[in-house]
Amino acid sequence: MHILFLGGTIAKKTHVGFFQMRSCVNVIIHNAWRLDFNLSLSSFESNIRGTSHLVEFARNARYASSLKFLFTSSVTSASSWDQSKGSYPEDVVLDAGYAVGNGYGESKYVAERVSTLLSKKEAIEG
Amino acid sequence: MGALQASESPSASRLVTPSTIYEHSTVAKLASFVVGAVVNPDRLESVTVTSRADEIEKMIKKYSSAERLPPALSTVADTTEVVVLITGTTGNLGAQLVDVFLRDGRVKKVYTLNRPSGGEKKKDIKARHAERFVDKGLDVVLLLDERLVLLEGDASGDHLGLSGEVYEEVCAYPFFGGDNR
Repeated sequence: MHILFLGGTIAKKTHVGFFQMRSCVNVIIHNAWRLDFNLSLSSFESNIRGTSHLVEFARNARYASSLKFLFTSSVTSASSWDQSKGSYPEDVVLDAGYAVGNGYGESKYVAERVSTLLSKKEAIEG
Repeated sequence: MGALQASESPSASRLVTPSTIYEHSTVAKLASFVVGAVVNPDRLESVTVTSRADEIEKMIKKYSSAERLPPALSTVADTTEVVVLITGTTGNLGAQLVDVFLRDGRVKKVYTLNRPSGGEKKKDIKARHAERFVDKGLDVVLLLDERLVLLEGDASGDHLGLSGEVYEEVCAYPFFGGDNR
């Protein structure tokens, strides 16, 4: 296999796949999650860490500016939604109180907020 | 706990959930919870929601620090070909996503990322996908598609937990070795 290096540093041989992927991926669908409705939020921390790593991956990708990042959330992220307010909006809700219910739903909500924050361009300029 | 759930006070019984025991993991914590639920369930409910919301916000803050973001997003022109990375493809929805992408002619490459199977009988990643495909009535022949790359790793780990070398010629671009964090 012939590899061309751009820039001065050399990537570790074992991470070839990682860097190749980052050079060509333009859509990411983060669909994996621990499935257990009996656990509390802290049990899902590695899933949340994984989400932040994938957004970082997207930001460092060759096609970062146009990359589409999709995350499969869950209705349980709206466990405590107040029905008198109408339907849950088609947008990220900033009040964490509406996500309280079980750890699974709460973790999905955390991931929604984390991926929104990390994907904002303003976050780095500020 | 059963008595509390069966109690006539709706607020008190609403406080007990399947995860209550996990959230109050010591005898002292559980006792304190039960007393609070009986004496003043409405107050306990609002305190519980507030503290759970605080935990949520803490977790969000922990994983959204701006220091980890690169200085500028690349400005390479868009491409019309789709190269997709999908996690959790040995599951229900994930397998269907693989099926849909592979059957679309605009897709150039499908990378899948799943954690290796644990336990004594470590299952082959291709076999795991085949099993799920059969289970969902999807065409297993798709799994032989040369556009499909089945990776084992863990997004919560460094470099997505990818180990070993992945030799792929299809991705035609040289990779950027300038920033190998």
